[in-house]
Amino acid sequence: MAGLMVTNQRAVQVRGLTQRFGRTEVLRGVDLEIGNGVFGLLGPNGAGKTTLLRTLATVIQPAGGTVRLLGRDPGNDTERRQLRRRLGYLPQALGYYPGFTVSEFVEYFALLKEVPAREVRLAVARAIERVGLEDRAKSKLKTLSGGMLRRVGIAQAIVNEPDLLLLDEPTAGLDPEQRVGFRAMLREIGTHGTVVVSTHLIEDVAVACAEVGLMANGRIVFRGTPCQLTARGTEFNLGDSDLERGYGAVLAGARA
Amino acid sequence: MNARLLRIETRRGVGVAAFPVLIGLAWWSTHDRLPRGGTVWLDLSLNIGSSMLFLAPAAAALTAWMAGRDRRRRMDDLLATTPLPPIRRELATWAGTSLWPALAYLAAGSYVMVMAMREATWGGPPLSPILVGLLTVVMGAAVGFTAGTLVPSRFTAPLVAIALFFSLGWMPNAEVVPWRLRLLSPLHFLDFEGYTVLFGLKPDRGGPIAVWLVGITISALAIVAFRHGLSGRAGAALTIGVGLIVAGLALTSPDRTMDHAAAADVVPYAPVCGGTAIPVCVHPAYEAWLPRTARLVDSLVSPLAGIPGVPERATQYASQFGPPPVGTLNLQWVIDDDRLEYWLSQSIALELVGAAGSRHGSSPAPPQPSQSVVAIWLIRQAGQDPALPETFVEAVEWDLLPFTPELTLDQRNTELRDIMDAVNRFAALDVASQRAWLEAHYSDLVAGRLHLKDLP
Repeated sequence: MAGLMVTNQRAVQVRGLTQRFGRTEVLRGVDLEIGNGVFGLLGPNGAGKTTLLRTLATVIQPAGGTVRLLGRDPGNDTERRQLRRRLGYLPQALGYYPGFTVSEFVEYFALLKEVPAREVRLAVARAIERVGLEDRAKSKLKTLSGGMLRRVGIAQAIVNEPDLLLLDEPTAGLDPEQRVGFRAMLREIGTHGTVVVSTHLIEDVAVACAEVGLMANGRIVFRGTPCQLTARGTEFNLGDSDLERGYGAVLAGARA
Repeated sequence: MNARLLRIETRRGVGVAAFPVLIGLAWWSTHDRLPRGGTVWLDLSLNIGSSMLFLAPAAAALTAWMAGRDRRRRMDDLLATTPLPPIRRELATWAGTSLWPALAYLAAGSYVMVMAMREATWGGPPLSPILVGLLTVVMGAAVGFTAGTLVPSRFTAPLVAIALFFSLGWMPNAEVVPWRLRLLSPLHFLDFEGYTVLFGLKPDRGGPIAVWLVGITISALAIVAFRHGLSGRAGAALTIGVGLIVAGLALTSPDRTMDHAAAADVVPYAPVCGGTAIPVCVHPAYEAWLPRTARLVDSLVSPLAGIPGVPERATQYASQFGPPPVGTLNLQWVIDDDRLEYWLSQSIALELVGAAGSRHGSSPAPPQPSQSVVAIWLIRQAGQDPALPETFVEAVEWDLLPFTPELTLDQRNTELRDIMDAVNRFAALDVASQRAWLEAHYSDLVAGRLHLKDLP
């Protein structure tokens, strides 16, 4: 299941991607190539981060442009199914079945992701362990806190040990200790696969991401390392950290 | 369908939570059908099957609710990224939910069966009515799931349940429904009364209905599959489903129904008999009720026994086949409770005095006044003494009284008083005088040639 097949190619290859809802153009020609490692996606609300992630997660079809994921065309039924077996996705608003236990919910998604039957039990146990919910494995989801539910969402996303992991606001609701553990997990997954994390929490990006992209108005307006983003902010005064000042400077430039 | 998915859906779907209610519903719709004193397996099977009238709508409501679950729980995005074909996931949801109403149906039916077996006297339970009931529950679950998938609203579940309940109940009787569809109604098949055991229930009568129900089930689920663009397999499933529906319609014909049972359908049997005045014979399935029935017949026939023209035998006879043979009393019921004892005594008394109708299976024709007098006297002397009415209005439900539409209410009350006076006069005679009068006038009485003034 590990991502050996994509180590020498870009897991995400997007060219001229457009997406529109009605008359609103949400993505305006996004070009993006992402290889192994953790990629942070930053940007203000409405920048198009969630739409980009939903497109990469094959939830919605592109309105224009080309998308190849893990070397496959998600527009092709057969390739899309192969791709989805190697995909993990945590949506911004995680739905869940309140009557399921943690273990059942993760197993449910292992089965939907076509994890081989003989591996399901172990995969479920491992995913739950990685998010630190072993002691709540038999608890029903309706009894969990918001942070725990978020961890359940992460567990279902990683249960198939995906080569491409797409996480939309994964650390919302996690306490500081959990976020530290989560970032360590991201780095570990990033060593053999590709992780795209959309977040508003810049410190997560600084610690966990090897690369960062900043979106504004449906476009990628910055692409580089966290250090490069920090460097953009040397002349900018708004923000509590160097990275925040870099973020603010790039955004201000994009708006100008 | 993935067995592990099915296990999760079965354990965590709404069906398991609703199971106590389903069991209660099944119990409520079957508990008063437990046989009293004996077992008529065919009637029992038909009764078990008819509990589908409540369980099928319940199944439809549950599956409709589950079909809208993913949208209500905002799971659409997450589920859309999984590789397993959605129809396989949805079939697991459907099956995991449908299992519970089907289990409730089978559990209630099994309970009734086990209770019945303790008193079993003859034969065994025919399975086709039970199968038709089960298939109706499954069909209801499929229709509900399709409705919930197409319209994933909170209101779909109650609406589809109500619609299915009234469709099942309305279909067999609605004039606007083509006769083939009416005959395919499970309720029509399962809601027969009378001596079904006398002419059995051939499996081919349930066959077209079963084919039709399976066709609807497959078609409904194929429509769900179409939503996901599985045009090839879904098209094949829909073709099969529609084909089965058409086959069910084609296989149906009026002579396959219980209403049109032919004499050739009569199942041969060796009757069991009792009685002292005349032989009283019943189907072996009714043996448990024979002693009480025979006692009643004896008590009614005794004053007439030996008089020429008096029936020489009492037996069960399916009225579908026309009047019973001459000289035979038709036992329209056997006695399994006090209420039936009263109605059976009326029926036999009317037959003994020659009132038409009861011999022909239709509603009994009103007796002549003189026939009323003797019939009421027979019932009273047999110890079946219903409170005698004072006025015609009180007596309006009595089958024992004449009905002359041209009379005014006052005239009817006068006639009733005259009849009751005649009953009392006849009852006051000694036994020898009663017997002598009956021997002299029985043939005229039966022929309707006597008037009240001809009575002593």
